[in-house]
Amino acid sequence: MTQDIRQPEPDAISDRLDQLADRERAMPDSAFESRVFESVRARVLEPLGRPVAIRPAWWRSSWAMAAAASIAIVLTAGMFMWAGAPTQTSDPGPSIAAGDDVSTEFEEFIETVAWLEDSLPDYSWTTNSTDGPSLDSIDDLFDDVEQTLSDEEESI
Amino acid sequence: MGDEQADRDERQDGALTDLLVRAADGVDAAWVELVERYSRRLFALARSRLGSVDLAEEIVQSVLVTVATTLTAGKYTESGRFESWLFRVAMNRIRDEIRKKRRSTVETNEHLPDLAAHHDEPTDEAGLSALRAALDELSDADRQVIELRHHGQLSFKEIAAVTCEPMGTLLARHHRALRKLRSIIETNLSDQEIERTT
Repeated sequence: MTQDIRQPEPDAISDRLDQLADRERAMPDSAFESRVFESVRARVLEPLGRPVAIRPAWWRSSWAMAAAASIAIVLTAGMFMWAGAPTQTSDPGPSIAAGDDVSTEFEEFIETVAWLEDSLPDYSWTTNSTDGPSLDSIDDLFDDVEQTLSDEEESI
Repeated sequence: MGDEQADRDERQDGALTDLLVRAADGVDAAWVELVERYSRRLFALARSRLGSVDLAEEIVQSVLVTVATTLTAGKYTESGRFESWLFRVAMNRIRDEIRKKRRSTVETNEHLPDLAAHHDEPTDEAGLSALRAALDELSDADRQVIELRHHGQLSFKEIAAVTCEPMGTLLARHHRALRKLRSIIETNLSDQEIERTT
């Protein structure tokens, strides 16, 4: 009872009613609450399939979490190893050698481009009207550059 | 004193709210606690009205299943008035049972034992038996307030919420019902006295 408001009343009858009610409440056997709870669980809680206190969700178990984390780490490491591995795993030597050749040629290609860039005359000060004839040699130079780049590309 | 009572009520309300949240999540422990808190009070109410232990237990299960279904479905909208709602569900269920029995009586045209008068276990105390018999003679409205108050252990404020009646009306009715009970018991005792002497 959260609020006990009693007015003057025939106390004897009221006390006897309380006594009678106590008897009624004490009437069920000790398993009464268990039966009621089982009824609620069987008819409502179990069909819902909600997490229950007796069987906590697996992620609330530290052991299960540790196992899951270990599996995740192993799987992640495996994936990295698999992704980083060469395609021809049976004979890695030639692949590595081939990889080295490519890198060497690529470096040479970069150096060639840098050389060509340095070899270009500075035409930034010229105008088409005054120095047009002197620009004829640029065509030849571009042809050479194109040819060189093409050769390098093919070699790579 | 009033402040202390208010603080206590507030703490109880907070604890009950937490309990109901856990119950709505389907936590077994919360339902164990709810069942322990209320099942015997509901049982006493149903047993007093219907007279049968088995039927009373069936009603308690039915009421708590209804409550569990509503709570877990997120349809509970009586925040802060759980006990009133719970006992209203119980009273409706008890009334349904009484109607069912009455219909059954009419259809079969047989005299069933008076629901209220039928009791599974005879008490060895004549006073309590006389009181039970007197309860049967009260009107439904008088009996309801008596049983919610004493068997259900509700406050008058909570009874007002269950029955949707003003608290003053209920206080007066309760007082009147107690007087009636005393009068009925005295009349019955004097009748028995007369029968014995004749």
